[in-house]
Amino acid sequence: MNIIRYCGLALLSLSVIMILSELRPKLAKLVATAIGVCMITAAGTSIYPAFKLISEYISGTPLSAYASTLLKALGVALAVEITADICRDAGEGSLASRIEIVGKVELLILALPLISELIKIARGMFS
Amino acid sequence: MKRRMITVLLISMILFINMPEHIMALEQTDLSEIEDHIPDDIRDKLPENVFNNTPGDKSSSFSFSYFAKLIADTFKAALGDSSKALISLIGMVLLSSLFYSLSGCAGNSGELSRGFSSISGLCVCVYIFTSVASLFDIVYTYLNSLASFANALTPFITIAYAAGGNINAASVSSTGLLLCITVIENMNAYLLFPVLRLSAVMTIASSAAPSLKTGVLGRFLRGFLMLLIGLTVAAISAIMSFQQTLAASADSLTARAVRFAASSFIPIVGSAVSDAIRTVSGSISYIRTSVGGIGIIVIVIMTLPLFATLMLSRINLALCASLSDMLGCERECKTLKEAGGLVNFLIALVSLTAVMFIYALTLLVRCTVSYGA
Amino acid sequence: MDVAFILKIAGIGLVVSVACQILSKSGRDEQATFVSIAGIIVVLVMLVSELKELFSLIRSVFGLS
Repeated sequence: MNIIRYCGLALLSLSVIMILSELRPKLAKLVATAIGVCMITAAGTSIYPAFKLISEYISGTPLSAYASTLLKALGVALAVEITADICRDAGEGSLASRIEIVGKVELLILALPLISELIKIARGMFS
Repeated sequence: MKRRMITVLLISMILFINMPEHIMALEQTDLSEIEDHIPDDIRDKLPENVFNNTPGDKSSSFSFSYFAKLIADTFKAALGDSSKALISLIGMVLLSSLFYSLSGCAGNSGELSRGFSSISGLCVCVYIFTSVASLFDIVYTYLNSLASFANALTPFITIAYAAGGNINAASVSSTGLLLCITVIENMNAYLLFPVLRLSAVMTIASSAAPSLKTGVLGRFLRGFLMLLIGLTVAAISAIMSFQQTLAASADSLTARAVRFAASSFIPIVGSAVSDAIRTVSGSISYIRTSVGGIGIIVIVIMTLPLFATLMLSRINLALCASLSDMLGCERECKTLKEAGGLVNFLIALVSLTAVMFIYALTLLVRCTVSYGA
Repeated sequence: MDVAFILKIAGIGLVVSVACQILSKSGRDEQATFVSIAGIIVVLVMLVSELKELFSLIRSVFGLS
């Protein structure tokens, strides 16, 4: 992955979007969204091997349960952020807030096993 | 004048009649009976000639090299487990910081990254407090076994005192030791561990959910308990040593009077009896030193592994706290510091109780035989 | 692949907007509208396909079900 190439692409798309926004504003928004999604996909594709390596290292150790929870939480956060940004860019602020609420609920569901584990420890201390 | 002579004679007769019984009591309870009261795994670690009754071998068994080897072995044994725990902790901290940096650049709305940071804090909290909770149980069983060992040793200590003619010191020390043991056991069961666990739970709660500010209360409870235990141990040690000194000097005064009476008023064999008593007193002080020495070594062997484990986990937690601080995870840093405070308290508790018992045994060793030269 | 995609989208956007301008200037307004709608639909389809790839990547990397 060539970072200079991506910087150049971003600047190029910026100029295209500015041109388009003069002529067709809605189309410009769509194009901007599509290009942004494409760039994030590129970033994700290049980080994918690194994450695979980390999860391979961790899978044997006692950390693996926590690591998988953390990883899922990060995934939820990123997905919801991207979607909310797309909605907000398209002008639907309330839709963005709705999807953020869904994301928070999902994070809470992920946190529930951890909280029950903590309560078990606290209860075990008192027995 | 005559009446005084008769009273002195009577007193000396009574004391002399009682004295052989003390010595016979010590002979009947042989040193090897102490061996039965020592737990098995500790018996293997004692030096070889400790239970021999001949004086010459024993001094070599309490050598510096034995202690150095004991300390080195204990720390080496504890190091294996704790280095594994250290690596896991470091891995967790690195993971958290990596994910923080990734989630931070995810977007401008802080809500989701806050949600993510609370999950990461929860993970670290669960991981750390599982290990700290297991330490609590170990310390609890250790204190109980220490108290039961001291309980078993008390009759021997009392006999060792009485055989040397320190009768007052015997009674005083036995009451002192029993008080000591009772205080420790009761504190352990009713005061210490419930309150300590309460403070631990508050610490856990405050680090899991930082909006619950119970951390201050937990720290206050810990500090208060520390003060209580410190004062108790200091008071018990001071009282024991004062009582001991006074009782020993009272005994020596009595014994000197008896010896003077013996040598002056018993015809012909009086001075020979006094010399015989001096020989006996030498062997009795040797027995006292052995009993005290064995007791001290057993307490040290019991305490060292636990102490090593606690010290090493304290070091682990401190290292990871500073590491997480460097990497920018403040929540993990706070959690690790609170857990480190809890382990600090456990270390102080273990050292204080061990020192108190060792002090009681040292008093035994240092107490001079009353009818010695 | 990504470079081509970005350039494709940018190119489509530019072409559609220029075509719309020309058509509306030369008086064919409905065709301008149709061309703009077609452009929006094409970009949307490409966006959706890219989003599908992004979300399946997130799924596989982060282990979400």
